[in-house]
Amino acid sequence: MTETEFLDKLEQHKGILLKVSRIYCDHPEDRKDLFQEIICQLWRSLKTFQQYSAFSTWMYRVAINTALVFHKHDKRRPDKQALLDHDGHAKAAYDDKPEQQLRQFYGAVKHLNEVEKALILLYIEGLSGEEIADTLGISANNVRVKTNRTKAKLQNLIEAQNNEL
Amino acid sequence: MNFDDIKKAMEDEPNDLPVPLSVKDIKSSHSLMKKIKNRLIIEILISLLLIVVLMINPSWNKMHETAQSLYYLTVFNVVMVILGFILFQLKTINDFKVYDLTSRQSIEMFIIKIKSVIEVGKYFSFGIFAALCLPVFIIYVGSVHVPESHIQKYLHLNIPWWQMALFIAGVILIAFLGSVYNWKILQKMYSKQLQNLEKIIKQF
Repeated sequence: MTETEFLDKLEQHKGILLKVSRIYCDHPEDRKDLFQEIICQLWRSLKTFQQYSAFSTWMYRVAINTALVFHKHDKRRPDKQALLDHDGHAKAAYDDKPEQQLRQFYGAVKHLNEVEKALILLYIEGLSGEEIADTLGISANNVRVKTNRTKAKLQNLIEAQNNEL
Repeated sequence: MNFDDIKKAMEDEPNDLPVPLSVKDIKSSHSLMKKIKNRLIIEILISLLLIVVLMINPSWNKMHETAQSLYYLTVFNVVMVILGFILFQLKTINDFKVYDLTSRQSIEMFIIKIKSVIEVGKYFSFGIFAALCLPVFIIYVGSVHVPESHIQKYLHLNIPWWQMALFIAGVILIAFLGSVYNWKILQKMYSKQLQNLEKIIKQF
């Protein structure tokens, strides 16, 4: 695959990179750095991409692995204003509006651990239990158990946010 | 919570991060592996500097002729040990491309690599410190301002057994202390990264 083909593919599946960056990094600068880091690792790992697997599946794998070991700028955090804004949104009354749900979702997601974040992202993206197991390297059974726990945890976090109001 | 709505809202979010026009425009500096790579590169540069210092040392440390030839002979051995270590470090740097394994495998692989860098560093430094004792001893004896005949017995190791035993014990002690010290430095350098990775692996 040439550099141009690679960049075209990236443009097609850019949503994956944005979602992974958004789930793992709260701060916009960290998000930008992670976004670049993932592209960098994708380019470096391109030689190992086997054409028989879908490009998006391979992208998820590299992106999540990069996010798991990504070094966030400790000095930047906590960016009080950003966190205040974010928490303010997250603590707003539960609303059925998708944007409102999304804000609450991001507010709750930052309390999950790194593997739970990966799990919930892949679940939302509609990957099957086997595909998630194959990406993370755990059994399908474990995926099922962990996904249910993570969903319950998210639900509790959101309820706790609403009760605080 | 409706995850379908969340997925849709995630997809509808404003897209403010552009894909670069060229791969060359991408900066990579926040990866944990990049940090480890940078530290390995610094270690390699220090090792290369040590080789240079050892090679040019006789130009400012004037030694007797016999001492000088013995010095180069022993330095050759030290340089070979250091080169072996550098080759290991280069191989480690080159093997960091494990982002396409499963997440668990890739984290495990990173942990193994960091631990091997620390362990191999510890044992290699024992070898390097032990091997370095000989040229240092030769510099010390060979540059003393006395006639060469007076230092021949030391250079030919024509000394009583107890002095020899003391010398060997001294070499082992220095090498041991050097390797422990180096191990502590390596642990300090990589412990934060290692702890982070071990914390993640426990989450699986």
